[in-house]
Amino acid sequence: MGMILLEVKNLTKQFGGLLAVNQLDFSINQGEIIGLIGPNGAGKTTVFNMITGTFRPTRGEVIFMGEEVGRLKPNRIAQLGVVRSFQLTNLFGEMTVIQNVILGSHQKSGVGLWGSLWNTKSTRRKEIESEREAIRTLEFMGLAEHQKMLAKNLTHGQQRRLEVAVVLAARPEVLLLDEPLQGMNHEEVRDMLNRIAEIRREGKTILLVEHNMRAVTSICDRVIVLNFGQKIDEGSPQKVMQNPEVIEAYLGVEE
Amino acid sequence: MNKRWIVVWIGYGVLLGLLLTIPLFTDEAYVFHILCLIGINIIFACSLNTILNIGELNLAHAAFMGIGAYASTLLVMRFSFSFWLAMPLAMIAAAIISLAIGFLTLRFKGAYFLLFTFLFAELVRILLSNFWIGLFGGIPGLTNIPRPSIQIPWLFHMEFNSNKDFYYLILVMVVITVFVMRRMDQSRLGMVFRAISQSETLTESIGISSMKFKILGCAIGCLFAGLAGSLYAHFVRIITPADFSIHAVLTPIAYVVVGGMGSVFGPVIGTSFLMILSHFFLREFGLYELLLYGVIIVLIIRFMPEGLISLPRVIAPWFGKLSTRERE
Repeated sequence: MGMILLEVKNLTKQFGGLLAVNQLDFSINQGEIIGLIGPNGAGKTTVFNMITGTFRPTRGEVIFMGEEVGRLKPNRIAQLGVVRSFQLTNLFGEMTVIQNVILGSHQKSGVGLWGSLWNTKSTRRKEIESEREAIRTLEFMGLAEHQKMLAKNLTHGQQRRLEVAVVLAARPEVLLLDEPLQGMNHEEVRDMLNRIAEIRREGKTILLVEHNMRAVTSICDRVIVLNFGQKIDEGSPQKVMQNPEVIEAYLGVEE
Repeated sequence: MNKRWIVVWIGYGVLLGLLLTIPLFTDEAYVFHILCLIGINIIFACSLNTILNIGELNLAHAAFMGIGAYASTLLVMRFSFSFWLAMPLAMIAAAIISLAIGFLTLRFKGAYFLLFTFLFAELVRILLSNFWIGLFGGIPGLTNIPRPSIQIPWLFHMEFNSNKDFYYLILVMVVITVFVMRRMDQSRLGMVFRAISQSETLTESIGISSMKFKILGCAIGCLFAGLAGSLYAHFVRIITPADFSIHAVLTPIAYVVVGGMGSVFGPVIGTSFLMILSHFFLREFGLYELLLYGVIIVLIIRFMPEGLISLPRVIAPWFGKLSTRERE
């Protein structure tokens, strides 16, 4: 096992009287794929929102590479290397596919604003380099032939792939993918799972929220199960699936 | 690709040539009066468009034009600055005040931002009307503002006293404004602005500080609103607080929307079209002038929701073959 990359300690989020996430602890090692599962409303997306700075935790800490990041703004956390995708497709719809990816890499591309405004040579070089890199990312996600299309005109499956491409362009250490397989057909699911496995082989760490149990079982090293904001189990997918409490949370109890 | 560039630049050249030669065809002061006002409004519409580009509507935009106008006037009249120094200072004043206002209000979005800017517009109007009347001149405002002049001893002397001379000054400023807007639109800066207006959450999540860029976008917009204000003050030579109230933003919003929001030339086309229409053609219709004006705006928005700039795309299908070429 590698070193601990991301850790949450005693993470709690309270909305008025509702405890959306309650005293959650877990840690992710470098290079792992972790599944975060649980029935609807269990608090999975709230956990994502707290890790990426969209919500401030009511209590508890988020520690990334040994530093507490739970109170930073979303863009700061992304710069540090924790980048998320969204449950509902979130792209720059009126822009082309390649522009979406270029924007993803903007923060780390070193393209300065003044240089870009006056179109200086060194900036132009960096812009060309970031375009090349964007094409490589698109090739990796199998979207290179659609690079000139507007993002809103892609099929749903392609849009989900583009979202992962945008996340990758931001050069994260940890990718937080919120239901990347949602709404996909069988073929597209298999294709996406292969690509996610490939991303991990390149040394990235992945935290995945997903409802597709077969996919979770096939790809995740470990699974964390949430129900009503609390962790009810953690471990290998096979072990977790046999836990009666988990089955109950998902399927209900037989009377 | 290269051929297209040449065509585009020739187009600019021809257009600029036409604008430069207008004085050869007519001498009427009224024509140049309107042309100057069109130019000032183009600069203002472009600056408004910059802020619309980041996805916000600034109802106080005319107030920033007012800040530019008053700053420029006071610097020239009370502190005997040269107009050529007062104008950039007025622009910077508008931009700096917008930085402070933006820092406070841009964390609010949509309707909330709108309300804050409404408040600020009223604040500026009330401040200029009722406070430091000795300085700001109260409700009647400031009058007898001098026209600028260029004076290089022994070599060159030009006073922008006639509307015709002022027209050249305005033309130069419009060209500079459009050039900067175009550069911005094609650069990363414009791309990030558009990204923010399309999805602020995604912009943040890929590490871009949307707040920083929105403040910057507002400041750039207000810089040019300050320019429009300074030119307006020294052209019309009378400014009152009412000139820069919230009503003064509404017509330019129509200019931007009719021309095509978000594009560089949209505000230019929209302003020129609507102002030429209302000042040269609709005057004949007397009582029905405003009614016709409204109907025309509604028709354009109905049939060209992306503005006049999308005209080629809208009429292309009528020409059959042309349409396929257009789509390529």
